[in-house]
Amino acid sequence: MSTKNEEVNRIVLAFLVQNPRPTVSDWKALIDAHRDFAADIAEISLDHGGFGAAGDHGEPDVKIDEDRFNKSVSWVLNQLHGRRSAVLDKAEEKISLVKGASVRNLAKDIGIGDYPSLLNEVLTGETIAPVRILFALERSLGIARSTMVEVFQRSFFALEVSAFKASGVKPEVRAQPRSWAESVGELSLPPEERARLLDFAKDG
Amino acid sequence: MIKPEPAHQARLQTIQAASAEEFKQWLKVSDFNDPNYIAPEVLATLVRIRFREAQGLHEVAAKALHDRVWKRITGMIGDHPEWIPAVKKENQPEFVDDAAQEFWKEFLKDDSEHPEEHIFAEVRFGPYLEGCVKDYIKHLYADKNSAVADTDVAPVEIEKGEDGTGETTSIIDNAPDEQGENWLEELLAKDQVEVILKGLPAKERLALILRGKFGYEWDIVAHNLGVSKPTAHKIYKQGKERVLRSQQ
Repeated sequence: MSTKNEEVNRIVLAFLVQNPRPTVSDWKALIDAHRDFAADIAEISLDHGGFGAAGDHGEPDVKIDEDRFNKSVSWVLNQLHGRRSAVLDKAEEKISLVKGASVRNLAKDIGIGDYPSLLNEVLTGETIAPVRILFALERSLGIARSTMVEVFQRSFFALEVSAFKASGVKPEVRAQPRSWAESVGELSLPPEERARLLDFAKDG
Repeated sequence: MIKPEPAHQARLQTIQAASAEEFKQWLKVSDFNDPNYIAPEVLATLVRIRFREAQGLHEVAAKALHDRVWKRITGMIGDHPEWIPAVKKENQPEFVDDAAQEFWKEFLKDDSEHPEEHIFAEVRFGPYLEGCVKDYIKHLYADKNSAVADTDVAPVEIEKGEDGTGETTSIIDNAPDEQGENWLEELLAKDQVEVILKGLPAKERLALILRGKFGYEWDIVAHNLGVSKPTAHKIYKQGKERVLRSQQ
């Protein structure tokens, strides 16, 4: 289902989350564990650990004019306050168009299958999407994963709380989105389907 | 379409899952080798996506990015003696301030013009910032009807060649390469190595990384190149010669 590049990116991403500053030995161990992707991983390793990191050596230790700097910070913040984020607006627009039948189709396209409600919860920010789902959505919707995560978080905090009419029990308002495992657990599923969906979260 | 590095994407993933306090603590890390360091490319993305604006973290990220911009421009002045006349035209704080503003104008322009893709500041921050400073210097001289300073840095010239995938060679030059890879180790200590390797034909680059850096056996190198072992040797040798020539 996923392309080779996507699979390599997923492997390297999971690796780098665990090893933010990988050594040559770390890279070699990763290649040894994924020999089918040796060439792609070796190519990516060029930018990390042992080969220098894209010519970046961190921040120089220099003194700056504090007064002038503080004034210029105000200028920057004014510039930002005066405009919307084009990348965020575009992503919100694209995600808002995924409704009804398109949710069902997208759920199938990205491997969730016949559980559009699960995808809907991801798109509204009620459920935290596993990395593999984010990769698949990135490919299908053409939105960067980091942007999607921000849109989902905003969406969650903008959700309206339903009116609570039951008596005898206390209302519960969720302060944080549900985990993928929690949301999968709430569906009535055969064991093999549950296992398949939970497998999406094995890389975080 | 340019893509951010996997390491930066991994860092974004960690930051987006972290608490506000953790994020603020990480911003204090200035040592590039510290795993908690946040690269300016990552900060650029956080500013673009208005990272947790309701919690004020977007502003925190913007301030941190601006701090990096100021410090890096100040640091760059020492590395670019050709900029000194421009720096002296203003005073240094004014030069840094104006050049930093040039960066933000370019950054916000790129942000609005490319709503569906990553921009260069999110992928290679250093070169992007340097380009902005050079543009500022050109504007500075143009505004004053003076000659434009020559602020261009000579690029590293890499000779482009054939991939060398022919299967006709029977040469297996074991001797020099089996003696060890000191030549590559020495080269890898130099800042330009990434640029040099990236300028090589793809197969030569891959052969040098797999064999020269990771020390894989020739059959593994050959398998990944999709060629025979003798040809893998030949490609490796061509790459090595090309790298050594570029160093002369």
